[in-house]
Amino acid sequence: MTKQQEGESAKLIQVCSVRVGEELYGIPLGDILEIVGGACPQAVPLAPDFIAGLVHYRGDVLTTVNLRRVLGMPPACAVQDLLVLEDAGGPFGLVVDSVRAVLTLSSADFEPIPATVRKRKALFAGAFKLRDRLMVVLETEQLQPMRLAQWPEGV
Amino acid sequence: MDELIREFLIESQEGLDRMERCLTDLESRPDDADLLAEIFRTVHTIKGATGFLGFKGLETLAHTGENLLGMLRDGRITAEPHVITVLLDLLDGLRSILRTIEQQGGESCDGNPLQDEELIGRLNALQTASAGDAGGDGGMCAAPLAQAESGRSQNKNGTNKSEGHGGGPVDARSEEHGTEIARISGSPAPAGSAAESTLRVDVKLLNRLMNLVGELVLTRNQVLQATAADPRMTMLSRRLDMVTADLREGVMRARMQPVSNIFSKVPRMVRDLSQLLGRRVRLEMEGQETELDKSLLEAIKDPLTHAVRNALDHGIGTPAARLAQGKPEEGVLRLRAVQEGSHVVVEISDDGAGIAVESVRARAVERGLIAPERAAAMSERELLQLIFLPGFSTARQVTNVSGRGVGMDVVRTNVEKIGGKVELDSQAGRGTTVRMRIPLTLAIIPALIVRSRGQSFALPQGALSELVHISREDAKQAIEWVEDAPVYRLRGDLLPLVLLDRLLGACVEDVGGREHFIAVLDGDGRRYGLVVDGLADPEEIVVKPLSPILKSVGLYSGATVLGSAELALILDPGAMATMAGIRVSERNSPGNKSDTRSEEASELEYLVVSVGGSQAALPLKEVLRIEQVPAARMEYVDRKPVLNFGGRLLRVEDRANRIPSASSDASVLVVVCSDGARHAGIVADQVLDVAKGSELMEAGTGNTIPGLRLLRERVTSVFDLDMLAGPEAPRCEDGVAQSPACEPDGANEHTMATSWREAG
Repeated sequence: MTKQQEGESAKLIQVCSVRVGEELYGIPLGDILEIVGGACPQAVPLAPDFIAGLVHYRGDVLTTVNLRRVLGMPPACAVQDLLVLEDAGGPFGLVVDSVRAVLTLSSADFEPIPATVRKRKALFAGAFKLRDRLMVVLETEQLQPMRLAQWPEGV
Repeated sequence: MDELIREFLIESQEGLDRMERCLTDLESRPDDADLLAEIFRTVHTIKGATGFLGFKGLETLAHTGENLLGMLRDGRITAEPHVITVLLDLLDGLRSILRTIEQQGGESCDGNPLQDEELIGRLNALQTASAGDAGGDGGMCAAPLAQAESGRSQNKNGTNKSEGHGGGPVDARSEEHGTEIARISGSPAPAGSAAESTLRVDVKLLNRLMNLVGELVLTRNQVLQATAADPRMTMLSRRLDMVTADLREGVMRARMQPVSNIFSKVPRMVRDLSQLLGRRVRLEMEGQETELDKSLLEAIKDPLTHAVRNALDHGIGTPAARLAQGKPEEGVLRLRAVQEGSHVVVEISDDGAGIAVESVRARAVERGLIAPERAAAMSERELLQLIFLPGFSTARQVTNVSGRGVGMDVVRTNVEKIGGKVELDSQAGRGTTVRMRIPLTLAIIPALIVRSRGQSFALPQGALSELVHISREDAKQAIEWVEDAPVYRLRGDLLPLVLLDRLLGACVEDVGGREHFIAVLDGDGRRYGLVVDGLADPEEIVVKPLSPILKSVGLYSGATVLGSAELALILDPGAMATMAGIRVSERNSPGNKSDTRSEEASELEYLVVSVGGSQAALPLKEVLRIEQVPAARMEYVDRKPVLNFGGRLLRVEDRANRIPSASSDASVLVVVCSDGARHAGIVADQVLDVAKGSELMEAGTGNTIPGLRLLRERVTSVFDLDMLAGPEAPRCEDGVAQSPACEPDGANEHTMATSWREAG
């Protein structure tokens, strides 16, 4: 995301918007390997709370993160969507309520998160000012299961 | 890193590995010109390449070494042990510079110039000393002269080679030992064309291929299930099946490497250690061409080193001590690798002092590992097993005679981690053999699928010794509680139980009113029963690694996709025991059961059944499966009942004539017996018990009566395979390790008990 902040002139950025509860979050399209609809991860007993479970993805067994739990929301029971993300630590899954749309936005509408946000600030890269609401963009790297596990107070 | 430099590094490392072997050989054959030529060539190649790659330090060192080697080859000095020692140091020096280049992309300035300098000094000292000795042969034979000669000697070296072998033996050897070379062609290529017929392949790519093949196996399983009913698809799915199997074998072969890759490190180790410890040791190696999966080869490197160390440190004594015992001064250390079925056996044996079991006994009692009364009753074999106990490893001096056990638990843990087994044989005064049984591949293992909390989990078959079924009615009495710990009486012994539901975090208060299965497991030497809700058929599972976060849970060793496309976590028997707090106690010490059996051969265990109202028995170790078979599935050959049993024809013995009398929709109970090669089925009314029984003596004569035993205080006739299946057919290797299996819906089965640890 820092690249976009540095940009002098406005650039176009593609972001995938996802719904979790009543909130809208954005994930940079470049970090997404695949969007899988209607995933149902296999629970892993004794795993940390924010782990949604395992899914079978192209020959690998993928660990998935439950975004609801990461954001401190109660678990949902309805069928959810799965995003396969990738960063330096390898691929992992992110379970969200539903995937909305791929938006092409101008970096002029992007602003960093204000300092008054204390809770879970590291998770957020910034926010896009959409016409009717704000869309907080997530920091993919911070959603890696191992990263989440290192949070001292838990998520 | 530059492609050119990478290539150089790989080639140089291979060359140095070869040089190491040659150097140790050279010590026993100091006049072998071929060996010297080989060593010279390695160093010369490195020096040549460094010249234009610009690694100054490496060049200087290689150059000095080359000079010394030149003199050796020209016969101006002989390869005495102290010369070899310096050359081995040269090898280590070259290696460490190469490592620096690999890690940092270039020679570090702060590396270790002093050490190199010192080494160069020693190399030069040897040259000048010998030059002094040789007198007339040029008193001033310093570096420049030797350098001038190196060109000439190289020609000579070429002639040597063509005289000796007439072909390029170097190429052929490098093909054989290349550490990272994946074999594309099945048979070793003829010398000379090695470069054209082999190809370097990134291990990552091979792993990826292996993964995809695993995926294909799963998809094939699902396709086979889905198309079973459609005759048009039969041919297609059969071909898919065959191609998949071939492909899987091919990819697995590509990952195989000869054990010589790790054996080749041993001569140097033996040389260094025997000098350090003052031993004289002859090393014999056998079966170097045996192949093993690359990752498994890596995994047994440490256990092998440990075992060799132990053999030299505690096994083979000093020459004086050996002479005193009437043995030759020189000890023999033998490494042997051989493939046996789906396993590779690696043996490390010595002809040293062996293990004094009496001192093991004393030490174990002293350390509180076993109770004194128990120790007194233990057999030699059982006592030897104590060496693997974790508490024992710290006992550095068991006695002065033998102190084996340093890190033997580490050997066992490492080998068991990859699904292998370690056995130990020792005779006091005669020597010790450590035997490691390693599976050919890690990626695919047989597993029993169990159910708990509505989920499937996979249990590796290797750790499973038997299964016990507890019916709904019995659950309350059969599982007893000591405080909050459940236990089960297994043939009189108390077996600690672990409730899988509870271990996985579910709140379980009551075990009554439900059906249970107890899987009796052996987790790193700890025996316990895992209580699960249900069982599914055993499956060959493809092991997928877990992400670090799930590995840190500590219970799971991997995950897999089942034939039903469901995901299952693979449970780690050792980790479960640790988490449940199960300790190694003398009662569960490994080998306990099998030893009592091997000692008292007449006290075999039998499965007692009732046939036509009277009691009959089958040797328990031959019982493979107890199954409810619908009477309609029975077929007849020559008016004798037979059964299609997993694609094989099973002869069925029906003494009480139950099959014809059963209505067509009823089922009969069939006990399937096997000794690995022969199979037979026996129709029984019901299974009664498992009991021990001794042979019956005929009154008066004292002869034993074959075919009869006293079981549950009744005279019982015993079925055996000789009688049921005819004389013994040639045994097939892989049939011996038949896995225990159980039909989940078999309502009548009582005790499922099969493969014990092999008694031998």
